[in-house]
Amino acid sequence: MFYIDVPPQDYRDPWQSTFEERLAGLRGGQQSVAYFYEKPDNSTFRYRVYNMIQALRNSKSNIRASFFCNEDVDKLRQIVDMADVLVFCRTRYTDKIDQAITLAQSKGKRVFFDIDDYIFDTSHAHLILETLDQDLKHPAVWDTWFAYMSRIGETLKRCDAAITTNPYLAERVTSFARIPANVIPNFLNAEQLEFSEQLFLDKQKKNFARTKDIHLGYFSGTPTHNRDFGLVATALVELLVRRPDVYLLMVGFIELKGELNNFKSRIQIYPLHDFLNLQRMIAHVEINLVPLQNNSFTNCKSELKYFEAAVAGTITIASPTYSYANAITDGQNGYLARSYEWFDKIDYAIAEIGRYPTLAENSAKHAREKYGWHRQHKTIERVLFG
Amino acid sequence: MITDSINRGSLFGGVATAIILASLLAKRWDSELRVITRTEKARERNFGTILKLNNIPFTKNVDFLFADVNSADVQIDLSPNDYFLTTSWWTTRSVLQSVNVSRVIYLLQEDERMFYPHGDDHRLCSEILHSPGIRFVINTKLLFSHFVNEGFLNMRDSATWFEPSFSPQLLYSEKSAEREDKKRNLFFYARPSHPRNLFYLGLSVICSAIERKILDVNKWNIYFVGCDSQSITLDRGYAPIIVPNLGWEEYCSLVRKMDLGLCLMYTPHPSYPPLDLAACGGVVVTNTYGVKDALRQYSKNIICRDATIEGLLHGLVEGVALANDHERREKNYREDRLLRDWNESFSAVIKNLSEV
Repeated sequence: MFYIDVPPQDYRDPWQSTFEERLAGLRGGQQSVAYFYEKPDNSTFRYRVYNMIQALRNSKSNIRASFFCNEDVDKLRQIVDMADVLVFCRTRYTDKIDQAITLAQSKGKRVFFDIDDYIFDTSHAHLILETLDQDLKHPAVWDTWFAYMSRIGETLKRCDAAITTNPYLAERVTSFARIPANVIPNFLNAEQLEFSEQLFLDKQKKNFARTKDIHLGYFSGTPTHNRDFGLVATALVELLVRRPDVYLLMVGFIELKGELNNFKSRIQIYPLHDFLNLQRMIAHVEINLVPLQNNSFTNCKSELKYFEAAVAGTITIASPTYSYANAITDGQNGYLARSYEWFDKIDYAIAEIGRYPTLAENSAKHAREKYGWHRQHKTIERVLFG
Repeated sequence: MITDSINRGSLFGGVATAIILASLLAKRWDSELRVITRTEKARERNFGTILKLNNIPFTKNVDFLFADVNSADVQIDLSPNDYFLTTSWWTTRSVLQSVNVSRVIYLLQEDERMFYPHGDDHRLCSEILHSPGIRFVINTKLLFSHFVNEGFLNMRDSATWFEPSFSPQLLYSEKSAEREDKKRNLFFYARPSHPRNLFYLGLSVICSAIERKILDVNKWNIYFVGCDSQSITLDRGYAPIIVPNLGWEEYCSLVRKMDLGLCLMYTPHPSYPPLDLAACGGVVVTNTYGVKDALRQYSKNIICRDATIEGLLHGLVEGVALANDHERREKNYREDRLLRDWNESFSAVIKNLSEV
């Protein structure tokens, strides 16, 4: 575990604002974009709405951007009037949403649908429920997911174009909805980048000084990742048996199964963290584990778990899904582990711990340069305004 | 690929061959590969280890699924384009309950009927083996010939066969000269709980060989190798060296040190241990069975005799002489016809499966 002297951050959601403040965010520019997301949260909203708005607001272009949500739904006419472009992000179909899209299109305004998951095509519902380890015996699970996915799919089909996180997902969107799909990757926002750089510099200044133990981190702790975690479980058991210096640090609600329960004293589990203090947790561990199943759902996922660790000076071992295989050059800025290679790759990464500063610096540089918020506005502007 | 387990204890021989075929097919077809196990969750790492040890480069990801044979709730997502490489009559039967026979490739490595007394299991196994439409891939021409002789017209017309390969990285001759001043080593494939390995016949043969000085225990170490051997004392108080459950690399390392083997297999398949020993330059005595009347087509260092005490004792006499005749043994080793490359082993099979 790395020694970190950067203290935890006092956190409050940076997107808290009134409707009037947000509406004012559309005024005064040459062009404007209004994002809609049902209820702001720490995950998709942050990546696909908050971060986009931040990048646009801080660019030199005279573009205004703001977001709206379900509590503003009765004021959508006002929003449509003020915005030049609308982006409905992962929004379920309702009569009000349909009216807003129709109204915008009737006024010649371009309407986008932003989507970061393969959750709009019900012909893949079964695969997705399996992947997310849902209880297939429960009829309500099927009702909920079919309803959710078909409502997302319907809003998507009503829009003029889509925005996604990678080309793999873009192809599926176009195939499903018969509309063009553009790619704007996920990236780091200003707060995340700034705090992560503090963490990285702190580690670098100390020449990556660490305790003599190795901590492996797993930061995807929700029950929907049970099956992903299962990919690495047998390798972890073997490592814990063979290497008394290995510990596991997890954040979230992962249920330990089977032989891992024999190592509870070497497994630390923390509750979910806000997105800034999570960076501090990640910065502590030597290796960030990102096991993912290999199917059309997981190949649509972005590489965010790589760049969030990289920017904090922590190297990642990931499954070679579409996005991770594109982001990581094995052995240079992290490692890729096929399903049968987890033990060997982790063992190798530990054996190569002497190279850690080089790999960590490579990956941090890559993360800052490719995934920093200040590098994104041109792509966003090109997609939204042509 | 669907099999019981790929974990330690299940991995030797047949399962490793299945992993290799599945990988080569996935490469050739550029398809996704899923490995479904039925009796225990896969230790995924074993998959990569087998390929590495057999010098097979493989860069694809693999999905491992555990379809617990004891659970009624297990589901496997299927697509109409999937092919299933089955590895036993019971995995074949389970697949056929959900999948059209045209999508099934059955890697057949033994006359599996021989595992059972005449009864329900035997009959079910026969039924599967007679199923028209399954594409059988049969381990050795010998086993293929056996099935043809047994009247399996479905196999005669459509099955393909292959000869296995033996990794030159692991199975090679260690210079016996380095051990000139040491005792000779005998490998007995000792598996009392696998009736087809004729443990008790082998035990009788070894005891008689010691009694008759065919095997001089002052000159020979005798290894009892197998996953379930127990501590044993032979006549005259001689205690063989018991080698239980070995990993694959340990097994190969041991085989390389052997001068002579007694490996019995009361089925038509030659089985792997005699061929492993021959691949390392050892001499092997094994038994005949039906169409398996000689194994010289693999190596002249393999001596095949009737499965009787006298027949095998005669074999051991020849075997000891050959093991001590360095020149002839080395020549036979150099001229053996064992394959060393799985791509070569499976090239005709994969071509055939790809054309259908």
